[in-house]
Amino acid sequence: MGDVKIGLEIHGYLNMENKRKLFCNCKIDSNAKPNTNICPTCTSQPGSKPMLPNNDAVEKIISIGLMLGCKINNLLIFQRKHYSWPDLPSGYQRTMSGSFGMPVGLNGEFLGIGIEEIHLEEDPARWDPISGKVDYNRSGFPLVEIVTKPDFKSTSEVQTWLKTLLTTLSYIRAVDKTAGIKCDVNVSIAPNFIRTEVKNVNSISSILKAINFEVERQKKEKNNFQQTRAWDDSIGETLFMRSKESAQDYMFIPEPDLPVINIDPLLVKKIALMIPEKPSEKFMRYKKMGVDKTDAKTISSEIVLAELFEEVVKKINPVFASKWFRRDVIAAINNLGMDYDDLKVDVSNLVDWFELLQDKKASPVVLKELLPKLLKENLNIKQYIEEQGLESLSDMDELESFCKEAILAKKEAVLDFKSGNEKAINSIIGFVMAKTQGKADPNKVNSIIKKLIK
Amino acid sequence: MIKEKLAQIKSGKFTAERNIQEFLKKIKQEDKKINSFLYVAKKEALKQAKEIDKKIKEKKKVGKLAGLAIAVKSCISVCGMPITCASKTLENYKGTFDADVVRKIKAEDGIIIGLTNMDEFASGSSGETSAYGATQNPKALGRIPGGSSSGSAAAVAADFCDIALGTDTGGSIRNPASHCGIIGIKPSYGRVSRYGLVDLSMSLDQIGSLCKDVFGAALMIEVIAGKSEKDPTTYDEPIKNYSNLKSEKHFRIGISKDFEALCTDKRIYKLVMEKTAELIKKTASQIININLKHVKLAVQTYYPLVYVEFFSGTRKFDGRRFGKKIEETCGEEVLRRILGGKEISRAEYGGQYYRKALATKKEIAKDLEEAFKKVDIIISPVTPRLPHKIGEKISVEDMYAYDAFTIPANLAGICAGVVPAGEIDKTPVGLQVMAPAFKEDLLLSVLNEL
Ligand SMILES: [Zn+2]
Repeated sequence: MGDVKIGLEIHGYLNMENKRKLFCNCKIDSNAKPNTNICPTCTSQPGSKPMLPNNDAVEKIISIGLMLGCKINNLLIFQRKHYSWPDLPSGYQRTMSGSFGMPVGLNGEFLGIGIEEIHLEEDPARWDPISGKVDYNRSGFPLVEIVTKPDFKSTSEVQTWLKTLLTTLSYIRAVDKTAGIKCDVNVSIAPNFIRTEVKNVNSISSILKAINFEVERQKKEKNNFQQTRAWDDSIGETLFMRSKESAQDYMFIPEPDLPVINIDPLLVKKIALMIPEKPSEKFMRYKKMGVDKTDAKTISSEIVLAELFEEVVKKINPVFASKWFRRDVIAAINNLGMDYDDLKVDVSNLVDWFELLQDKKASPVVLKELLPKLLKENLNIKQYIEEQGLESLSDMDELESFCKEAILAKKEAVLDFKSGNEKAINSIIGFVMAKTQGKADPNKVNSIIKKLIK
Repeated sequence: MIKEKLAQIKSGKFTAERNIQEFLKKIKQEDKKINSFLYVAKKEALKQAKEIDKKIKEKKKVGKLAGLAIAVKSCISVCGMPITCASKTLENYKGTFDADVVRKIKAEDGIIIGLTNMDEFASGSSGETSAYGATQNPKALGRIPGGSSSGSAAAVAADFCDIALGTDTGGSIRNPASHCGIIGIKPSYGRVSRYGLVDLSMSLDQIGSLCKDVFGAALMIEVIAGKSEKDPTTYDEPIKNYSNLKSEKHFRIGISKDFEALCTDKRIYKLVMEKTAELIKKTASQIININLKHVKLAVQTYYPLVYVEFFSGTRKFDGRRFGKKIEETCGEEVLRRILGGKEISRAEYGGQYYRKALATKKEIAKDLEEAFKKVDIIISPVTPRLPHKIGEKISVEDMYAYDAFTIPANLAGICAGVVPAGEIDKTPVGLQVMAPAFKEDLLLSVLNEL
């Protein structure tokens, strides 16, 4: 790609536990009917004032800052960024960025990429240019903005980094995944590194396309100059918006309606203690336990899975557990069409499931069949197996009599097997499994039949 | 007297309905001449009055303002009433919610009798910048009543209401109180919630009271004071029973030499000092000279702050939602402030004017803080000159200099109040008392002795 410098400004919706907007108590609900979650403050009625920023948002953004290795400021200062647009009822946006602002986090580093700053801002309303209607439900949603240094050198680096960033943020449930992210991308190339900012790139694949387009454009352009461009996804090109000289003046002023907000260092310490291990750290640790690379990667990609897995391996051998965990547990969750965050399975039941499996108390067939029920209805598996009499058939005499019955019933298969068709034994085993309702251990059945036929 | 009237209403000797009826009649007869109200809430007020009288008859508990007629400045939001800020911009805008202060007044059975005239968007100190015509000074006809709470002061002086709400950013309560010969209180910044107050300068604005007696003014502060989660610049300072006025003595009174120099009309300074001498005699107090180094910078510090914050606060009046586009419908002074604010907020100046003003604001606050280590209160004139004649052209500099004595209290966030000192040329002249932040109780007891 040549000598390139790429930086990102990533905007995401904060995932709020209390579902309240940033400066008022209105509910955050993206599916509500237009203009139902509004008040004088988020519609900026004359005389309205912002409330103190939602604590939940402040704590969330501190945890993002910590996760990305930022220094957390002990003061937060909001300011007003003025511009006129139909979606902005007050004529300014409250943000921590800009000349008077004080962001939450500074000078971080995440996987080798410098983090310039992390700050909080409010979302404007939603304006439909065709109907001219404005829906204020979204006005005042808390947004996080992560600004990187121009440290990326290739699109592949950007791609891997962004994916890992999203996984990492999902670990602290900081960003609303369903709402997606928006990016502004800045690109410059050697030898002069004249920076272009590309606005509004809304998916990872578009980001990569926009970067590639910009690099080629800048190579071709003879009189390149510092400018802002917009990404047009439909034609796959960036379009000129304005030069640096004609940049919009936002006339920043500190927000006079809000006091400077003090961040208690003890709060930061408290949040730091709750910050989970990063996905990359978990991956390395799982590998050290002897877990296969693919299993480790899959399990560490989701915090819910990782947390469940870590509970399981407190009692179960990690190598054994990881195989079953990835192939069966995760597959069962996916088949159920459940969101990981909606999983409410009691970990102790899942641990029991693994124990039954490991100690061969119940057959894998029975256990696999019960897995969806366990995950969905939080089945008390031990009790259920006992009540339903689903324990493995461990009585060798009983097993042998089932096998004898099978040999009589499957005469042809016996002959086939004897004449050298090894696979023929499967239908004899299948007969036993059906008869025992899956409670027999197929391995044991296999060896008994072989012994009996010979 | 408010205290006596309240007692009569509460005992049933006088009714809230009659109180309102009498005021309505007087407004109808006389306000054409004074022009103090932009909206009279006849129906709403009478309805509320009847409800209060009913409660009293049934021996139910009534609030602290039971049956009193309260006039509200037209920049404070009252649900369903025209909140015009005396501007064509908001000609057809009606309040969509009650300001915190209005909610509190209603909860204490105060009756909103109407919305008062004012300088357009509180930008002025004469009342003449209203888009609905100037207000007359009821105590000196032909002269301005002062501003920007011109209508509120005039309504009180003309006996059109019991108590009025004003707002004070650089003297907008105290200046008209002085010119109209009544009491005006500007509480400490953060004492009263601004939720529902249309912005002039958010870091300086404060809602306060105007009344003919100290008790009424104090009672209103008692009702509207307090922290609100809807205005995070309010403080959680204890509220006292301000209306329970105690007689106090032995005040240490601060006077600055600069005050005399700032007074264009020296008769005002002389009158204020005479009134101060009476207070000293009555309360066995003493004068201590203080040095307020930065106070002469007050006016030049104040305007950049007001311009910038006003520019920002008026961005919502872009014609899309609330009324008309402000730049196309406002008067000269409002436009001057918007354009001035726009100019000094430009990125190329890097916020230097605003920052510099903020820095001087701190210095002025420090001066006053230092002074209050040596004195309990500071006494000064309210305005450097008598109110001019309505329509008389005065320069922008002279207009801005009107606020030289009142602005420091806003910049420092302290509380201040005005009482009548006497008359010059048959025109009322007030005296200003400044007290430390959140010492409204001290302020009010001094005003009570004056
Ligand atoms: Zn709201």
